[in-house]
Amino acid sequence: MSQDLRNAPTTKPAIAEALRDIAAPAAGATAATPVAPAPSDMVTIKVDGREVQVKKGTNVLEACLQNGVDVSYFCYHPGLSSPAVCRQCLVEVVGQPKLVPSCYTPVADKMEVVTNSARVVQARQQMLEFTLVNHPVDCPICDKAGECTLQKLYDDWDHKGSRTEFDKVHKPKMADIGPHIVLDAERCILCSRCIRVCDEVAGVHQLGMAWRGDREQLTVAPGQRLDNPYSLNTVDVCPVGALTSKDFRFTLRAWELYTVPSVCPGCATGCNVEIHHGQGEVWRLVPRENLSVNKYWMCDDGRFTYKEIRSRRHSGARIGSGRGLPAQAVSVDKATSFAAERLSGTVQKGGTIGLVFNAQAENEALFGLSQVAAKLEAAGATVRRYVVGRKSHPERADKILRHADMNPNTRGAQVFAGAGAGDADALRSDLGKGALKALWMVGEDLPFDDAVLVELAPSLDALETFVVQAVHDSPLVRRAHVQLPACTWAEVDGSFTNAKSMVQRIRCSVSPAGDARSHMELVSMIAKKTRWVEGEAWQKSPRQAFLQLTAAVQPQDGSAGPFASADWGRELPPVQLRFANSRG
Amino acid sequence: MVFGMPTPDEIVSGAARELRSRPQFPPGFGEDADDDAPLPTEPMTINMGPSHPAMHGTVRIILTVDGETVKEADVQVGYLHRCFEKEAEYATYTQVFPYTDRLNYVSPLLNNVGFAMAAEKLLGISDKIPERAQYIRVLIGEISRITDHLTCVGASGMEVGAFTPFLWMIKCREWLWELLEELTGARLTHSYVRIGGVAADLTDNFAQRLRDVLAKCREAMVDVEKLIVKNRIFRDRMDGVAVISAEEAVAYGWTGPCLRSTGVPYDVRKDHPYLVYDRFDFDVPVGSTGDNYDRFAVRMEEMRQSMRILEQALDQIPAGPFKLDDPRISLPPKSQVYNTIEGMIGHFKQIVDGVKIPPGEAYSYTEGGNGELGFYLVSDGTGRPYRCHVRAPCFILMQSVPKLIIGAGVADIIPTFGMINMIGGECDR
Amino acid sequence: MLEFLADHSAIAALLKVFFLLMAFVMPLASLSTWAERRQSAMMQDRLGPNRAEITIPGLGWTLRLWGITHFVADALKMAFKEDLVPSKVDRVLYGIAPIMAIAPVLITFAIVPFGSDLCVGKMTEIITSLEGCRRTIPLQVVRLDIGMLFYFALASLAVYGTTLAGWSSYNKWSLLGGLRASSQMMSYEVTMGLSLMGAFLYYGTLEPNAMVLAQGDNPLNWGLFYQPLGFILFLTAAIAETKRAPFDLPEGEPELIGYFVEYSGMRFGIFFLAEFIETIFLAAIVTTVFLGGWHVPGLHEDGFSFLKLPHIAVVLLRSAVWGGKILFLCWLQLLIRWTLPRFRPDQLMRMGWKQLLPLSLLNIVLTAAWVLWRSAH
Ligand code: SF4
Ligand code: SF4
Ligand code: FES
Repeated sequence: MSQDLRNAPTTKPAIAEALRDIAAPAAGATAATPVAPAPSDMVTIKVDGREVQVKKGTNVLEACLQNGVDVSYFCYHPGLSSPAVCRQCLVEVVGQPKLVPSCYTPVADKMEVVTNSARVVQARQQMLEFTLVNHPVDCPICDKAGECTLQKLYDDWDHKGSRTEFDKVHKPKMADIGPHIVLDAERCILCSRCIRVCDEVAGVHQLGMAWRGDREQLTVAPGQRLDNPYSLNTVDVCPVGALTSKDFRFTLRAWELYTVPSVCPGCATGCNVEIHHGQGEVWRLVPRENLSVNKYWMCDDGRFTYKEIRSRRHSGARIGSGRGLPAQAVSVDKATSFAAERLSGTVQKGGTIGLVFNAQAENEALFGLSQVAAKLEAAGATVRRYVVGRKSHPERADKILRHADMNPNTRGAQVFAGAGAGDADALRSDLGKGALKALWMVGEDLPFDDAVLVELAPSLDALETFVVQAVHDSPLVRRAHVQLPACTWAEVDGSFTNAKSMVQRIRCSVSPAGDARSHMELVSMIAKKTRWVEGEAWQKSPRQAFLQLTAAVQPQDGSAGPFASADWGRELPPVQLRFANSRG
Repeated sequence: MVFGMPTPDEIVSGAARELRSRPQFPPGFGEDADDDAPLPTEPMTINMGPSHPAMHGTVRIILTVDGETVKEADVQVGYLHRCFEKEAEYATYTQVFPYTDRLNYVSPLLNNVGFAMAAEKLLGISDKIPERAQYIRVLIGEISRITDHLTCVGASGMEVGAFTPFLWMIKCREWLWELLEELTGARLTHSYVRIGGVAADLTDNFAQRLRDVLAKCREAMVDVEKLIVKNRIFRDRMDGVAVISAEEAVAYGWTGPCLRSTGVPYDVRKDHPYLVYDRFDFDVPVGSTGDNYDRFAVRMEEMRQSMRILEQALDQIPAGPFKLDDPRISLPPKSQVYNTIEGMIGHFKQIVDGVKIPPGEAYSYTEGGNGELGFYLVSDGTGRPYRCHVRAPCFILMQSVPKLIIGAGVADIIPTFGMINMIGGECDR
Repeated sequence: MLEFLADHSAIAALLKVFFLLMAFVMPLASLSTWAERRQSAMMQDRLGPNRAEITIPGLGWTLRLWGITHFVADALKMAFKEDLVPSKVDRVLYGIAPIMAIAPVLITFAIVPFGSDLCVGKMTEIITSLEGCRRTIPLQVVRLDIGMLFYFALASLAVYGTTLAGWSSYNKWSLLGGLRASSQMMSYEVTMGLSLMGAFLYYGTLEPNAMVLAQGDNPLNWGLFYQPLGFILFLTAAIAETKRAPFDLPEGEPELIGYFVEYSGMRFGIFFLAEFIETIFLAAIVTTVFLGGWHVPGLHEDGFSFLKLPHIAVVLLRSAVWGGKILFLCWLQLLIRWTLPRFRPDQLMRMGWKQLLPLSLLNIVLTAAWVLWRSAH
């Protein structure tokens, strides 16, 4: 019950591995394999008597962590500067009279670091005791409880009782400091991570420390709000429950959540996220480290994309006579049969068929659609392809993460629609001209205002066959003859291609709403029933589709194409956050 | 034709199929000419359990019987499988205690103790458990052994038709359970033991009340013995039935009262004393023939020995703490939990993460109600077992049931099975 | 009216059947289902069924009576239970079996004398003997010369009920139960018959009422003392015939569940009831043959020697004591049933054929010798 417990790994191997997988860059990210540093870049230091090699310029804390030595810390964050304010990371460096903050001390050759001497452990315990002196007894009502770094460090290192007899210093609780965030200044341990996130990531100075001594507290300047578009990152980095998200507060306890690695569908950047779900629903998205995409961050808009999983869902198949008339609810099987019948009817009559590649859909579905298109063209049918998606918002683009294109898979849609594909305007004019007899939309999004949609309605109604695979219900969907329910990104296994052409895995976290099927499955069902494409690998499973599509888009000349390093990754067991120990 | 061959439509059930595979009758059978022809007989396959009153709902024996004689027996266990071992991997060590209650559910505290001792062995604190806690463990363990044996012995009487002694024994068991209920808060699923000690101290006046109950139980046991031990029918049903030799029993891996009934005096409490068992004066009763009656008698005597241990333990039990005073292992007192953040976090982490046990593996074994109850634990340093295996004594006993019942009568299966004392919760886990 | 009955014996017989079966046997059988549970509960330190109660409408009185009305509740439950017939049973035999089980016992009650003869016309007088009676009404449904043989004949029919139930149910367990029942009942019938032979020799008659008369009102003259071995043998064999513990192998609750495992509702109820009627009948026969039948110790035709009683009182007292003897024997059987464990089939057969049978033969020989010796002197 002494040292070996302390140095014991704090998660089960399987889970640790899974968590590593979550933490690792997403499959297929084009992160170039790190070039092995030249030996001259390396220094040799001794950590607890063990010789290790680390890169020049790293600090002692990173050196320890890289070598599996646990040094407690609060204020250090790999994505932020190190101000060394918490003093939790003190270690002994042989030859130095005082303990040094490891997060602030760069390694030097032949340095000898001791992290487990009685002195260091005592320092740690004393720092924790200081930190806890004025900490409120809030864990039962604190949203961080269960994933709180303060709890973890106390449990790992301290375990001493309280020695104070005085009242705790009180500070503002439930301070509404921003549109998305509530501050509990009593829980704050003054690590300043949140201040640095605003300064260094969002580039705005919105938070600061006021007062001194045990009255010191985090605050926003009078009249200011914590309202930058990256504000919720402060909640993630906060090691305690001082900053909490209004959106997630008091919904589920952290240990009831399960985590699945995925990608944010909010824009073409494709920030890597963890989907935190429990009780069959998604409750929040938090950023996942990927140095080549989003580092450790994501924007506030992206976090709220999960709400679309719950709202306005089109969850049951309907068939009807289109034109917005009431349609009949049927099984997906029946609806796809009906769709297949009408589509092949139109094609047999020689009518032009329009295939819509939606940039919200996953690569696998779009690849399937491209295969159908190819088969049809080979058979002599006239096929027109369009790449559409949600409307761009150029005003939101910045140099940090936010992208003007609000679709996660525009690149993928463009790749699979092929060179001759039209865009949304082409679709609009083709419809207006009546050039299409049938329209098959994989995804219901169109980048048009309502006025345009109203204007388009008569031409849509004039279509002989109108099939739409829709995630959400909308007037447009109700104009279709066949209205198929499709899954959201959080309900399928698949991949998105972001604006930098990186193919990133998305993973299924919750079960589909109602009868919904993945776009790929719907495409495959219609393709089978029309007998256009049968028994191909991509129709079997998302994984097969992924393997086929990565092979298919490989440039013939052997150069690294857009999907060059795409990798499906492993199947992951469900990881309960309860056993992830701490976050932030 | 006397026995019409079934038409194909009739061949639906197993019985119909049997009819079809019926051996050909000797020529002329059923025509009055040849009355001396031997009557053809054939073995019958009959399915005993899992839904059968004597199979405790959890065992299935596919019997091939010739008349009432068992020719073949295929014993199938596992109908009460609850993934105990897998569940344990997803629960903190403390959360496993309630699961262990459901192993041998007539002596839950013995399982509690066994599991706690395995975890303590892995933590390396076996020798630091406060004395009082060890005595309490002995007390509750021996009470549980008595309840276990009371159930087994009583039920075996019932299974040969003597219902009255069964209820007398159940009455005693109830007295003991009432005592345990007062102590632990639950009548059957006590979950009373904790890593590092027990959950609460003995109740006031526990010693006196236990002594009273033991006195009453002794009387009841005498009554039972008067009623059945000298009863010719009972002895006929038990004596010499399902005999197993000491060598065979050892070879099958038998332990506990069943092994001792064959004359092997192996008792973990004596041979590898744990807790404070080496401080008590008690005997290990053994049988001579290894038949059902010996198994019955060994259990009867073991109860008396347990009572002896209980009385000595009551005399010897010292005052002191009832659990280890280590904030990593024992929960902090509630006053600290509610009033200080340190206590709060300590409590919170112990509940959510569990008691963290350094990586390693340990096998710890104790004398359970049915024999050597072993827990094998592997820890990876977290608060949950990486692997938890139970050496369930009656699972091992069950493998020899076919040997015991083949050749006996259908009516002998029940008392034999009863004296093996298969407890579904433990056997199937 | 009694004269009318004395003249029309058929109607009298019907009335007697009605009285005996409806007013005595059936209620007693139903009651003993409750008594069995209650008595066993007392033996086992339990409470047993004590909750059923009747609320008298309007008055609001609640009669609990130690839970006696449980048997009504039980009967209602069985009557309203779904009558489940498994799909593969032999429907005809399956339906007949319960009737076959209950009918013979009910019929054999016809030969049981449940009181001394009624002397019509002298009801209120004190009479010393029935000699002078012009017309009598025997308190016995039929008075058959073959008497006990009639009983044996019908008792052996009862085996068909259980055997057929076991066979027709299309269940191997009930088949085993049925086989056990038939082998057990057939084997013990032999002992049962032979163990009574001694009594026949001793009384010189087969007619039950004659046996009762032969025993007289002096308890020392009752068959129990002259046929002690016969008494024990008969009691044992007859309990085996009723298939109750320690002879409940056909039922063998923990092993076989019984020949009636596929029966539910009232069909099962009939088997259940038949078992209790059999215990009553066994009590009646034992009373008749060994316990002086309706005789009351010291009660002559004209009352006790110290207290003269009118004829009707004497007859009523005798019937009441007869009932009391039966109750005692029923109680005794319950006591045995809840005390002893069950035999194993092979032990049962061994006991039947190798122990009881030779003993009953010995009993016959001894009795015969004694009768011969007595008549010689
Ligand atoms: S911040 Fe951590 S320690 Fe503080 S109240 Fe919240 S969970 Fe408890
Ligand atoms: S609010 Fe959280 S992140 Fe900000 S200084 Fe306090 S503890 Fe650190
Ligand atoms: S982590 Fe080094 S001082 Fe805070």
